[in-house]
Amino acid sequence: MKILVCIKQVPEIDPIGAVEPEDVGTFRMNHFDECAVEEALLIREANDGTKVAVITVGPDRTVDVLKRAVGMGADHAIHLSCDAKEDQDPLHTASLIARYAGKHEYDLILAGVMSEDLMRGQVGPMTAALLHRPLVTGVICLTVSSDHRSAVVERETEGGVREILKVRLPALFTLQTGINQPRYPALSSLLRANRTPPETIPVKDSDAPSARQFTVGTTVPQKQRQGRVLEGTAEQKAGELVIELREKGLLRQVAG
Amino acid sequence: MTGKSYIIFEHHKGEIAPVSFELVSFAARLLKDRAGSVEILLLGDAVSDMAEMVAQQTGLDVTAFQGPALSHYNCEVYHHVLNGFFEGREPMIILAGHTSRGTDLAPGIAVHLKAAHITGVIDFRDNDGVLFFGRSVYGGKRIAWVQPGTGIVVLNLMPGGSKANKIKPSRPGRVRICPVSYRPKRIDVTGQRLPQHGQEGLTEAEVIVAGGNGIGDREQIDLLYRLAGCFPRSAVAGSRIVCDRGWLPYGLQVGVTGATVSPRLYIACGISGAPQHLSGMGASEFIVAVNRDPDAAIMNTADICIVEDLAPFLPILIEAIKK
Repeated sequence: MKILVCIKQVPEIDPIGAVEPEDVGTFRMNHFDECAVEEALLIREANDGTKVAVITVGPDRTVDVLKRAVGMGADHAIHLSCDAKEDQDPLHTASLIARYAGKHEYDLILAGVMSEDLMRGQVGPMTAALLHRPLVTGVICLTVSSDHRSAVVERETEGGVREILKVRLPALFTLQTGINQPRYPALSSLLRANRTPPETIPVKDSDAPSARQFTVGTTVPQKQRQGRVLEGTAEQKAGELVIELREKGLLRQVAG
Repeated sequence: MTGKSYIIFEHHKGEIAPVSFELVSFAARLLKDRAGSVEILLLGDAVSDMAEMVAQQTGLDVTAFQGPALSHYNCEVYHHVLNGFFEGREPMIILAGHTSRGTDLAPGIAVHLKAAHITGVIDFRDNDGVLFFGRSVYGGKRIAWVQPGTGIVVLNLMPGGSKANKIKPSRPGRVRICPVSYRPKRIDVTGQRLPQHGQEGLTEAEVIVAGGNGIGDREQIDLLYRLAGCFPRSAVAGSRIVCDRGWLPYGLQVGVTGATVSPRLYIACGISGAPQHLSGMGASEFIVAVNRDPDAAIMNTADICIVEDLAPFLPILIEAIKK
């Protein structure tokens, strides 16, 4: 089997403070995509002769996530090299991936269900549409049949209800976290990743349709509620919260 | 931008999903000063009664697609039906919920129609006729404003964000039933698996103590249970990441892929406030957020914000309650 995994480099946003990517010096692999790489490796372990390729689109720094994926065990890495902006139209990325994938007859294309930074969830589904492949999003369980012609997947829907589907391959699945625990790269594989650079293919804007959407800027969300910030020591804050909850009848005197 | 707009309705077990009516209200605000009508699209195996009801409740025309292959949501069948329907029409805006179905379905339609596709929409601005759509980014810390670059836009609206206004239409919309005989060739929906743990405990609780990414280790889950123990009719819940780590069962997850709750009191401990979580608990009566990050998105949704580390603060709070 041939598997392609689409991975994205996302800014490491510290839980406190910086939010804009330009404020962030460090980047890492999108967590949802780590699960996709892991799932591809698990499928390879269960199906002899399977090859796992990973692909990303972006500037030179994005090669780091390809190295990590090879460090985890991927066989081959493809870098579609361009100076794409972080918030460009996802159709651009999908078109570039579809253009490459269309020439290589993958049985299975995997991607994360969304990226952690922009949370658009479009590159995977759009790639499927461009390649006319069946699509299942939010996959939480995946089993490839022994003849490699179909897969049984469970996708997660509202309220934790799972839909079970049988899908003919080739197909594209986007994966939810929780489907597996991504492994850490092995040192020997990391060394191999450093020795063998990815297949780099320079791409131009004209290789994809022109953008159909533009991000014009970002704003800070408005407060939806009062959002009173309690001041003082931890003890004072706790005391004030208890008074507030009692006044609102949310806490009775005889608690505990 | 001109033309007709379409709302793709969603229903589960004979019930219309609440986001569908939120879409009707959102579309009404969006298209207030614009020419062109709005039509509802409904797909299912026996939806004619539901279509009549929707046409009465909304006053909008309803096109209902009916066929055995539509008994469950199936991306392949939905794409076949809807891409065929839009063929030869010139839609302006197509709206669906930012739900597991809506996000599975919409990108393929956008690609087919060469449309701009904007997901996770929470708001819009109309600047002298130019539309911009707001969507949460970076875990809800910022809103990105996106301008469509084409005359056709496919939107996914975040559930729970816009109010579904009660409307009293003067007359019901027209209903058109279209039979669908297509059988899927590549995707078969073979069944359903219900969550192992029922969510009754969460949906019935008056007080929910929920933990998020800020929960540093498994031991701190115990603090959530101790805090919940201070309240009658209470329950412990978690955001997706806590369940992914195996610290709480998925049945206790609150958010888009978990339970939707609206308790009297929701204490969010170390929860960042990503839109996926907010859409599951944003309707709670009173929200207290405890987070070491004063800029966490949850602070915008909370009634009371406490900037503290969970590990030292929760025991202090439990003591204060027991005093």
